[in-house]
Amino acid sequence: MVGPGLVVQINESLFQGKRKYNRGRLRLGDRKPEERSDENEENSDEDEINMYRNIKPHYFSIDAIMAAQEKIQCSFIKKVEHVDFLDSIYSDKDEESDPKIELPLWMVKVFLVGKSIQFDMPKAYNEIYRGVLTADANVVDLFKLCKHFYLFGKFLSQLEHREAYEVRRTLIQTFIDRFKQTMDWAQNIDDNQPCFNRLDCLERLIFNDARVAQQHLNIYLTEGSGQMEIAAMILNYRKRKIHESRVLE
Amino acid sequence: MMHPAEIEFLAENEIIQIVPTFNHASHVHLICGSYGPFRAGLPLNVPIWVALNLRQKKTCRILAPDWMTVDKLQERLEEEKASKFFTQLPTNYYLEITQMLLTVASEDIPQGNDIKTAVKDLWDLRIAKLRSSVDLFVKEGRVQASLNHLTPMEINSVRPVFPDTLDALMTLHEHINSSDDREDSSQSSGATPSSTSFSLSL
Amino acid sequence: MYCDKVVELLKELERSREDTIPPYNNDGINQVLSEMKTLDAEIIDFLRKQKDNLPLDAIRLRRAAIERNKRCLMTYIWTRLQRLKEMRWEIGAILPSDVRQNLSQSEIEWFNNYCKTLVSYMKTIGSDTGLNLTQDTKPPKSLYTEVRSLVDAGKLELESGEVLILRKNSQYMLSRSQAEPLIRQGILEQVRQ
Repeated sequence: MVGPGLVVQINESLFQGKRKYNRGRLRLGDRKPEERSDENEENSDEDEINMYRNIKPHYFSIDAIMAAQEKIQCSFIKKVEHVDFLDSIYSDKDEESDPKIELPLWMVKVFLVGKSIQFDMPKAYNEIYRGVLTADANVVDLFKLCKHFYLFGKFLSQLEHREAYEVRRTLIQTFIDRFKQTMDWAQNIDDNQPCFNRLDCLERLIFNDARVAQQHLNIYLTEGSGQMEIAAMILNYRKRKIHESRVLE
Repeated sequence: MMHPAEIEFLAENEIIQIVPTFNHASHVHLICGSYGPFRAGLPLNVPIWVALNLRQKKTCRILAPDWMTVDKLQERLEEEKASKFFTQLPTNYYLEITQMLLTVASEDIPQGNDIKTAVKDLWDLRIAKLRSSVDLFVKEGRVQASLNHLTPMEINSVRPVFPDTLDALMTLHEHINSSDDREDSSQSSGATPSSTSFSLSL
Repeated sequence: MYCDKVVELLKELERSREDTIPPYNNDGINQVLSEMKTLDAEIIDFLRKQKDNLPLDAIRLRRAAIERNKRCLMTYIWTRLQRLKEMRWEIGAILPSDVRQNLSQSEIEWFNNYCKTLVSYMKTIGSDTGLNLTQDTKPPKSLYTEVRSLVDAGKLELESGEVLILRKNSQYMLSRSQAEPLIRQGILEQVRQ
């Protein structure tokens, strides 16, 4: 990697949804969405170590699992029988108004297959919030709005809904708009906990990457190289021990 | 991602001039080349790691590289400010070499503190440029960008963030619901890449 | 609601710090497994009883719940193994006692096997003695280094065969390869120049 004139390729990513020239319109990728939904994605071609810290959702990704656990308010079009926890919504008042219930995303997906259900876009993705995010994404406390804002939003936009396309567009634009801010926060190491708290899970991963690199550089510049350090795990382990013994006293 | 210490290790192979205080008539044969003969008082070229080792044993004096003066660095800084692109530097390892020489041989280098500040200024300026390039790249959703004359340490500063950012964007782009794929003239223009590459060359 | 238990398990894992391993929740896992069995039995029951007019939604939901339970359980175990693997590289083959306590029997077995595999692989690198990959992960600056003992660690046999007795706050000159694991375990500290 050393030497003049050599090119270092940092990354090459394949974007599935291409846009037609100048129209900026997203069109279907080569694969059809229903063939592979990445709520259940498997990255079989990635090696495990990389996968552990992988930002892309994969089969073992806790973030992706939790994002599919987020609740959606929905109402049934057809009556679903033989599911105990759904019986209560029918028994209350007979078809007076359409009964609403909050279900996790993965269940909503199941009922959408049989077209038994319809749902409202959750608050964070409705027209009002899309407007707020478009106006100035940087001021929003994304974590508070939805811990898994991007992943949950992505899964939502893969469901059958008339606003799905707009939701996805907002996600992409929000991410792009906030990117610089995330990088800047990560660069300024001193006390950025309040900033960190406002990032969603996906942004936090990027923030942490940038931050670790910045810390390495800072330590290198102040202390030089060649120092051997105690393993971070042991250090934290000791700190916890001390803390625990203090609490006990 | 590389650790700064690893990049410093690469920098240690750069050649530098020393003035030994001892005599050693024959060449010293190393994997990276043969160096010598060493004659007290006569300058010769050696890799930085050799120079640092000898200097720590106080058997030589290190001559600062040509570019390592406050004036030369100020010139570089002005040039960097004036240029829209990255300027080519005399070495790929300006930060690391400065760091190493000033740690081990600060007495051999006049105005060490000012040099350190000037190098840091140059670094900060170039990193700011790099970060805004990356931001622009992401904002405009460009297909390809190419930046020349970056040093390994500079590339390393965006290395952890950039691939992940592109991965995140890709995650958001893929599997878009086709049923809502319809005409909308208000969308931002600019083609989203089917394949993105961002090349940085040294 | 289905899968609540397994999500609870993952939350427990998520809440813990990334450099620790919380106690292996055997009860929780058994509860999830029995939920899966019940769901499976219910599906079979539906299929047996109703030949036509199957409650498709109910069956689909149960099947999805089984799949999700499976995915979450595997994630639980996989995440723990990743952390365990990282510990091998960070602190070596000897785990702190409270980490060890939190492992299941098969995790301990897995860890021992992982250590064995790693060691036998490292032996095959190079021609004679092999290469310790966990050492010198950053380029070393010198062969020897000055260290201070942080505890009364007792006897240490040097590569030369000499025996050194490590006393708290005393300083020693050690070869880097010998000092590094002890520094990583927090027994020694490198004296800064």
